[in-house]
Amino acid sequence: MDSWKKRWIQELDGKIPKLSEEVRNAPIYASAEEQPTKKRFSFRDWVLAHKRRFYGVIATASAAVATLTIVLPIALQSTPGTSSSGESGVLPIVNTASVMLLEINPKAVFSVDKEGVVTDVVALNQDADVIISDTARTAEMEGKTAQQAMQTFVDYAAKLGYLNLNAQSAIRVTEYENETASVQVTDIGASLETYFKTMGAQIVVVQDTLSGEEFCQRAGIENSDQGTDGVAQSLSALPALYSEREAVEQSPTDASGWGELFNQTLSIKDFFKWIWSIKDIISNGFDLELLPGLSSDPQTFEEYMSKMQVYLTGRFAGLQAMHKNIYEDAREEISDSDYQAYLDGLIEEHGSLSAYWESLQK
Amino acid sequence: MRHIHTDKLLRRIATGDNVAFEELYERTKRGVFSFLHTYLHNYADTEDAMQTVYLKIKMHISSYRAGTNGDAWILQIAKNHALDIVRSKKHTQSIDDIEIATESFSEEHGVMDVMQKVLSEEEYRIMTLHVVSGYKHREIAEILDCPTGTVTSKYKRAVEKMRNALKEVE
Repeated sequence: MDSWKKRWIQELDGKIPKLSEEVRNAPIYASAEEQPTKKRFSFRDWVLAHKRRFYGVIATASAAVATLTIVLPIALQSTPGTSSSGESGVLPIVNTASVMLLEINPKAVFSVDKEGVVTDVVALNQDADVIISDTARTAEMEGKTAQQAMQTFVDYAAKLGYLNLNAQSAIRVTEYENETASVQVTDIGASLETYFKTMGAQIVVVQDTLSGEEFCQRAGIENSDQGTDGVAQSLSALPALYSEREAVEQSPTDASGWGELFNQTLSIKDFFKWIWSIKDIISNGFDLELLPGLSSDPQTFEEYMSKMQVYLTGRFAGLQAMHKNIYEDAREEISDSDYQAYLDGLIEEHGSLSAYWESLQK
Repeated sequence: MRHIHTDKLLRRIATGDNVAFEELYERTKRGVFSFLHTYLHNYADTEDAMQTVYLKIKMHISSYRAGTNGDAWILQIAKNHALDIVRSKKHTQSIDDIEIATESFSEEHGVMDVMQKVLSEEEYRIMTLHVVSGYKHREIAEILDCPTGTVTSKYKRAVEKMRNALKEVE
């Protein structure tokens, strides 16, 4: 930290008042009991709690219980989202969080709450950083439905040229396996297929479901023994930018280390050349006067991230300008039957859409 | 991690735990004080506002949603209170207020004095949230409702201004 910043903190500490007796002794207008943290719903605990009551009812009113065991399974089986564990009469309808991995390249993971609303978007590589580095763009995704948010992300990927809407390609959506999740991968798949058909793009949406451990391995994130709620909670505590997490992980111990890390992460010389070559077509969104600031090495984490932010902003503006024509190209909407025929053709050729995806990664 | 700790303290306070409240004060006072000062610009008002903000935390703790961002919740209370004071001062500016403000300003010295002279209000606020409270630029952008790029470029400009200004003073 610069010495003046340390002096500032010291001055500040000298000014901060003690808590007054009046405030210290003031009553707390508290709730009646400790506010619980969000607990993962335990089906086993629910059943055990209700079974005790259930058997109590049998002892006193066996006819009513017999009716209950017949009526309840029928009612619950006809209700969407009911768990299919096979237990008679005691199946709750539960909506829990969903966690979805979207791979284009860029690669990002989306936490979705039990209302189907995106709470966090976390970048899993630097290309995803380019998309979510601006809070205005993140605000177009967080707080929106999972379908809207992922469509927005995919649309930005197309605008930046990561996805060529004029070429055949594929993206992959993987869900963390959870039968009671509020949003399933099929919901996302259907929404994104509609987007591609509307855009006239022959792009496949590969859908996959993985167990918790496999999902976290594919996403490169830490697993939680508390299922999707646990993973969603840990994602909310992470910095959203991949670059920031990498920087925190590396955390050089001295000032020169930050410069080394910055130069390892980016080639500033190449970036300058690239930006200068397209400076006539970058209109709004990037101030070229910020470029000279990148030529000096950062000395601290804050400076590192500040320069990284300038880089990401420039990268976004440049890519958008470069790929504007392809994105805005006139394409005819694809009908449902033509799109299905296209998918069938790929399955015939490759065996499955997943195999097609794998072939594109080589 | 900081948010998780603040959340735990707020949940304990919600059960009537005054020890947790005092611990919360110690943990958050620096950030809240400096944030209030970016709105109020004098220490007398900022000291009074501090006490009121923490009183409001006790009064409104039942409205805090467990598991959410406790730091942001506290900052929102501080911001609302500071804006109330600023608005009321605009209507009732008196000679006494002006004298107190002038007196406080003349007592200030060192880095904070320079900051108030050379930085715009927004630059001062961004600098405070980042250096004092440790918020990332993206988080600051959410608190102040502006693009991250703006926060980054204003922060950078503020740092340059401070470096130049402090060279001149020294």
